[in-house]
Formats: sequence, structure tokens, C-alpha cells
Amino acid sequence: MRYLSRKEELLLLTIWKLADNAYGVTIRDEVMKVSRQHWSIGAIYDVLDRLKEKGYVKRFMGDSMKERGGRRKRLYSITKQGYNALQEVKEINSVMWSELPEPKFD
Amino acid sequence: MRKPPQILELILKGFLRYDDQEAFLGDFEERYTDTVNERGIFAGILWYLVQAIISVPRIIKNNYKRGTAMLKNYLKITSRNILKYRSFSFINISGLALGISCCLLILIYVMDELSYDRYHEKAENIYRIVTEGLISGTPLNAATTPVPAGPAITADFPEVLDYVRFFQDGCSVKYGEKIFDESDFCYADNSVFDIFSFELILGDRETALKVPYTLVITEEMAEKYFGDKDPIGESLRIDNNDDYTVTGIIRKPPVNSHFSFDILASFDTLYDLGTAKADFWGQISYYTYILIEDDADYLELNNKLIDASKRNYAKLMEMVPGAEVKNYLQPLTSIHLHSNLMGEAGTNSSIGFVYAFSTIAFFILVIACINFMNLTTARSANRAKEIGLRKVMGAYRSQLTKQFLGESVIFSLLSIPIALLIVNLAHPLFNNLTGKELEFAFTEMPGVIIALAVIIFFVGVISGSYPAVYLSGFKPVKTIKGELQQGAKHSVFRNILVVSQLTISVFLIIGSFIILDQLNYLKNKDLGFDREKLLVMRFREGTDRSRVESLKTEIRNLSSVSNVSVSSAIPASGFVMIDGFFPEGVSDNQSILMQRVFVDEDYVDTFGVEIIHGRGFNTEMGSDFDNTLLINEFAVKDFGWDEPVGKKIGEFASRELDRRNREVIGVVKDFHVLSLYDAMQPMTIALDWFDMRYITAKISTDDTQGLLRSITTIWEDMLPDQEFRNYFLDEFYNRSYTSEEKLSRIFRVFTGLSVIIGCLGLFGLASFTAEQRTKEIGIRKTLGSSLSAIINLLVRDYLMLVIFANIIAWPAGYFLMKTWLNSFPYQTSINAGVFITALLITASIAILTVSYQTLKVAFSNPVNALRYE
Repeated sequence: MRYLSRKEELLLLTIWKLADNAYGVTIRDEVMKVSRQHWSIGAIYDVLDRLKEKGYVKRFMGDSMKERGGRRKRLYSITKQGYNALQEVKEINSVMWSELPEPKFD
Repeated sequence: MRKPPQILELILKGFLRYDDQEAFLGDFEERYTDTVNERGIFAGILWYLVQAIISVPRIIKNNYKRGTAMLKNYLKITSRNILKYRSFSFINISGLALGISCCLLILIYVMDELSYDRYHEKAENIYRIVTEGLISGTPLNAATTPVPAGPAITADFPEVLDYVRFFQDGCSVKYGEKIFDESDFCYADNSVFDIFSFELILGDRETALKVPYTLVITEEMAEKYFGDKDPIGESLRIDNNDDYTVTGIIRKPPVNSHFSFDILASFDTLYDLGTAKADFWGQISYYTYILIEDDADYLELNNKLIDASKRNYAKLMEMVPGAEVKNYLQPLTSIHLHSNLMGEAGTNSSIGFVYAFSTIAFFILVIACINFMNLTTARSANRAKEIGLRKVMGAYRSQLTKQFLGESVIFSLLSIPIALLIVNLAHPLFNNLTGKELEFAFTEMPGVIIALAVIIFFVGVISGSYPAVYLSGFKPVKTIKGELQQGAKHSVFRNILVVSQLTISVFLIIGSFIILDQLNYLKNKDLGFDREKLLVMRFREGTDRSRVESLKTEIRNLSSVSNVSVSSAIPASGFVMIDGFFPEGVSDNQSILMQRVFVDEDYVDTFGVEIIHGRGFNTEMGSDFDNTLLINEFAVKDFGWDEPVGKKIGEFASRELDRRNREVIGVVKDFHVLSLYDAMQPMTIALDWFDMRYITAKISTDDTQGLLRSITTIWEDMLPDQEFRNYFLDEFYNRSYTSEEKLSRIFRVFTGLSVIIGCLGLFGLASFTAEQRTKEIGIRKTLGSSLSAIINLLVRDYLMLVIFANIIAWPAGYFLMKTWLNSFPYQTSINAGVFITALLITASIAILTVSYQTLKVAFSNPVNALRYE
């Protein structure tokens, strides 16, 4: 099976972290804050759709807000498969890191 | 609280899938509101715009990945539709293909025109120095400069890196037994290889043209003179005088160059021959190009050059009081399309031509697109049920829109291979039309491929958008019940499309008639002399008088020749010497520019020029030679003379500056020594032997071939060192209007095409309307309406459209063509007939086109019509 891409991993972690309040705007804010990179809204949805397809997140419609012109939010939450995929990436990373020698630069 | 800009939201929405819209737009708006609150409305809008732009590619990618479920079905329906309505599809696709191919052909032409001289590596930094001035009130605008201009300017301005001078000179070239007249013989400085990117195939580019009497030749010339022999070091005899050594082989300049040459000789040779003087500013016959530094400002240099001109031409201006001469720069790459000065190195094109072409291409594409829209809407009636059903089954409007957009894109895609095929088949014809030799290697033209992609987009999306939006808006219940909404709004829109299409056609028809009129006017206008049956032969200037005289006698003795004349210029040749004169009582200090022709005593009779006052030259009165003048009517009027005969006109004897007088002995009726592009000017005709170059024979036989054979024999006998060059004056004269002829042909061809494409559209529209009104006509017939009443009913609408289009196109056509005509000093008048003809043509074509469908409906049995459902 394919591992999570870096972007997918970041978004998945963000959704997990935001718990009940994970939707487009908050996810984007958070991931831009952490990664210190610019993400377009389109880019966020692109990755979210991929996560949805793979079954790592599930989505449902939330409540509407005045600032949103009365439109409802689409909330995301992490699934068990999502959690497993994150776990897997983390394990591989820590194994890799633990076996590294001291770096030499010349 | 402010909402985000509606228009942006709408655009964004267009790209989104239906089920994504709410969450997505909500997110956008929320962030937008925050930005507005923090940084104001302007920053908010900017944010929205930037976000929308950078998000769209992702959205499209996403949609594409997920939205393919129905694609197979759409494709199937599209192909079924194409096959089911074969004739319809054929009209639609071929109309579009025709439009695209016209566009492509013209695009390639325009690109070629724009590519002139750009192949030089340093093209952007090369400028031509040209000369502008005012001499005795007559403007001088020459593409050439004096000899010292290039060196002086290069020495004066550090930003000018180098210069090269050219001198064009036709001459005869002899090698062994081979003698040819080479018209593309040029003298050039050695720096030609540094400034321009002409490829020297053999020889040393540092020294090839350094030494006098050396030359480089093109491969074709090498082949012509030397065959397989190694040309380097061989010598060629020029003008039967001097031997020049071949020092190199050069590649012939590409066709898209504003000047060309076959042979380049060392410029220093001209000093040696005495033709050019290194410090003489008075002879403006040399092309000078300079290379300037990358960062030099050309406009600034231009201003400095104008200042420097005062200094450079000071001496010259002293000699000719009141004269004012200055040099300025022309970018190399703009010469072909923007320059039309005296003594251009070749025939330049004009940017007007490029515009005219592009406009026609655009018009045709517009007509083709309008057709496409009309035909697709027309077909919509048949597909209403399909749309209704799709909607009932849960299709979103956006899906239907995409389906129809997709269909029209597929249609336009289909027309492209057909268009390419047409372009391939038609390109020899097109080359013939434009007089160019354009290649159509599409793979080598990224520009054309990009253009093609743009056209696909343009045609597919824009022409498809109308039906896509319109069709998908049908109410499902009504469509299934068979009640189509045919609001007046839509037919108005369609009528506007048809009218604009017809307007373009009418305009093109008017244009082509007026161009044709003008062309015929130019060709048939009385030029003031008899141009029939005149055989013109050209000999080299400076040929011995006695040899020419005896040649003349020999030719005169032929029984089929009724008259022969030797002269320095012939009528309608497009070339004549212009000199300053001092007519008695008109001007004593300032010279007046007049055309100057030197002739022998047979000139007037040979050309059939009419003497309206005084007498012609008379050889018996020996005093006529060298001392008398004929002037034209125009000069008499210009000088305000009541009694011209006996007046004295002062002139500079050939190229020296002492004045002498000649007496006017007669006045000739105005005749055109140039073409009709040039207005009539005052002219003097003198009996003298100076600058002679033409022998013209008036012939009295129809056997021109036989006559030419006998004259050739005489020529080869008397002037063996010169090629026998000849032409018939009337043919030559007609050729001087090739550019009008070209324009006229192009206009006619594309007018024809636009009318054909327009017909396809009308045909589609007619079938649409006829179908819509089947039931109505059935009822009318049952109630006793006559056939003619029904035809009248159906055709009347179209006639109204035609008349409307004519009313719009007439003034537009009139003013545009009047502007074009105003560029000619002699112009035909625009008569009402042209407009009436345009109306009749469009009306009859429209009636013919629509009558097929109309008659089909009108003749049909009303029972069938009423059983329509």
C-alpha cells in the first residue's frame, strides 16, 4: 500500500488536532501556521478530497454562520484508517531516525 | 456586512461541482469577511480574486478526476448525434473548418510578413539611416544616404558600433562566353558580415570584401557561371570593363528580407572607379545601416542625428539655397511593413495590408462562429426531449452545460483535421493569391500551433456557450410535453447574429467591387499617350551613341516597325529623373523641381503624345538639339504662363553647377511618365543625348514572336556585350498595379468564402424556422392560404434581415473604401450601383438559400404537418 504524502500527513494531523472544529478555513489556517507556507483553498480541498477517497477522513455538514453568507460548513474528522496511516508513517520515521549515524558535512 | 463580489463568486461557482459549492464558497466568504474586517474592502476583494485564481487549477484537476462517470455516455450521445444528422453535422463542421482554414492561411501570411529581417542575430540593434529633406519646396524622402553619412555618424557617436553601406547597381557580368545582366548586383562594405547574419559559406569573413575589385557571389551564381569549378580566385568581367576576383560564396538572403542580392562587390571599388567620393554629401544613393549598442537609446540617437545633419549638410545647403536635409533612423525590422520611401531596395509591403488581411480573417472566423451558434441552436429543438429526460433523471444544469460545451468542443476539434487538410490542399492557391512562397510545415511552427489551440478554445467554448446555456435552461416538463419555449428574446438574438453576419458579407462585397472598379480605372485611364504595341528595349546607360543610333536605324528598317525612339525615360515606367529648373519669370533664385526626360526627335510620334501648342522637335533645324524644350500642360498651368512658347527655362547642365537656358518651343498634352500612384508634375522634354537607356519601337504587326526574333538577331549583332531585355509597355504598365490586383483577388476570394459560409448559416436558420412553423403552416394551408402567401410569409423575414444588414454595411463600406481610395491621386468615383448590386447579390443568395427549406415546408401535405407529433 502507498504511504501518506507529506501534504496528506500534514492535513490529517491538523484535522486530528482541530477535533470538532476541522473545516476548510480552520484547517487551512492551522496548516499555514505550522508549515509556514501558503496554501490556496483549492489546494486544501484537493488533498481533502484525496483523503476522503482513501477513507482516512469522513465529512459531514455542520451549522451555518452569518460570516459564511448563511452557508453550512463541511466538517472533517479522522477515521480509524486515517489514524492507522498516520501511525504507520510515524513508526517508519522513528525507525529511520533511530538508526542514523552522526551526520558529516564537508 | 458586505458580500463578496457577485461576479467573482459566480465565476468560481462555474468551476465547482454542485455538491462542493456550499462548503467551498462558504469557506471563501468566511475568510473574505475576516480580511475585509481586518484590512478593508479593497484588500478583501484582492484576496478573493487571487485565491480564486490560484484555486481554479486545483478545482479543475479535481473535477476531472472525479467527473468522468458520465463521460462515456456523453461521447456516445455526441457521436450518435453527429451520425444521425449527417447533413447538419456536415454543414456545421465544414463551415467551421472552412473558417479555421481561412484564418490559418491568413495567420501564416501575417506571421511571414512580421518575420521580415528578424533572422539577423543583431536585428534589434540594426538601424537604417535614411534622408529627409525639403529642396525648393519639394519634399525629399529617400531610403538612401550620401557616401560619408555612415562613417561620419559612426565616428561622431560612440554608441554606434559599426556601419555598412550598400550600392545597388545592375550591370552585365561576363565569364568566358557567358554574359548576363545581373540586376541584384550590390557593392557593400566588408562589415556586412559583422552586422548582418548572412552566411559566408566559403571565404574569409574578415577580408572577403576589403580589397577593391573583389566580390562574393551566391551559390546560384557560382553554379550559373562556374558550374562545378571552384569559383574562389576566378575573375568576372563587370560591364565589360574591369575584372573582379571572386573571394567567397555567400548564402542568398532568405525571402523574408527587405533587400536581396546575388553578387556583393567590395564597396571600395566605387572609390577606385570614381563613382563614389568619400566626402561628397550631395549624392544620395547609398543604403547605410548601422549597428548600435544594446543599451543605446535609439530615439535619443535619432535626435542627435538630426542635429548632426545641420553640420554634415552645411556645404550642400549653401549650394542649393533654401534646402534642408537631415538624416534619421529606421529600425531594420520595421522597414518591410512601415517604410515606403523613394528608392527602396525592394518592393516593401505595408502594414495596411497586414491589417486588411487580419480583419478579413477575423470576420470570417466570426461568421463561422455565428453559424455554429445558429446551427447548434437550430438543432436544439430536436434535443429538447433528451434534455428534459436527463433533467428528470437528476442531471444538474451544470452537467448539461458541460455536456453541450463538450459537444461543441468535440465538433470544433473535428473541424481541425479537416481545416488542416483544406490548408494543405489550398496552399498552392493561396501562394498564388498572395504572390508568396509560404511553407506549411505545422510542426515547425509553434506559433501556429498555439494559435490553433486558441482557435479551438475560441470556437469550442465561446460558440458552444450560447447553446449550452440556452438549451440547459429548458423546463423539463415543457420539453417533454413538446412545448418549447421560443421566447421573442431568443429569436431577436439569433436575428442579431444573422444580421451581423450578413453585414460583414455585404461589406466585403462592396469592398471587392470598389477595389475592382479602382483597378479597372487605373488600367484603363487615358494616360495621355498611346500605350498599345510599344516594344521597349533597355540598353546600358553610357553605351556609345553611334552604336545605339545604328541599332535604331536597323530596327527602324524592319517593315513591321513604324517608329523608333531613343530616350532616357519612357511613359508609365515608374521612373524619371527629377531636376531643379528656373523658369523665366517664375523663379530666379530657387529652383523648381520638374521631371526631366531626354529624347530623340521621334519620341513624340512613337508614343503618340499630342502637341497642343507650338511645335515638336525638328531635326532639320539643327538648333533644336541641346537648346530647346517641350514642357507639359501641367507646367504651363503651374507657372501661370499665358504664352509659353518662347519662354526661357534655366537649368543646370548635367551635374555641373553653371546655369544655362533652354527655350520652350511647344507644349505637350499631359501624359503620365510615372504610374497613376503619382500625381502629375511639371515636366521638361529636351532633345539631347544624355542618360539614354531605352529604345522603343512602335510596331505594326500582330506577329510579335517573329518580330522579336528578328530584333534579337539585330541586337546580338550590334550590341553583343549586352543582354537583350525587352517588354511590351501595356503589359508592363498593367503589372505596375500588381499590389492592387493582389488586394482585389484576395478580397474577391475571401468575399466568396464569407458568402458561402454565411449561406450555410442561413440554411441552418431557415430549416430551424421552417421546422418551428410546420404546424402553423399546416393550419394556414387547411384554412385556404395560397402557396405564394406562405412562401412570402417565410421569405419576408429573411429579406428584412438582408435589407437591415445592407443599411448597416453601406455607410461603413462607403467610408472605409473612400479612405482607401483617398490614398490614390487618381481615383474612381463610388457610384450607387455598387451598393445596389451588393443588395441584389445578398438578397438573391439569401432567397435561394432559404427557399429549399421553405418550399419543402410550403409544398408539404398539411396532414403530415398537423400529424407532426
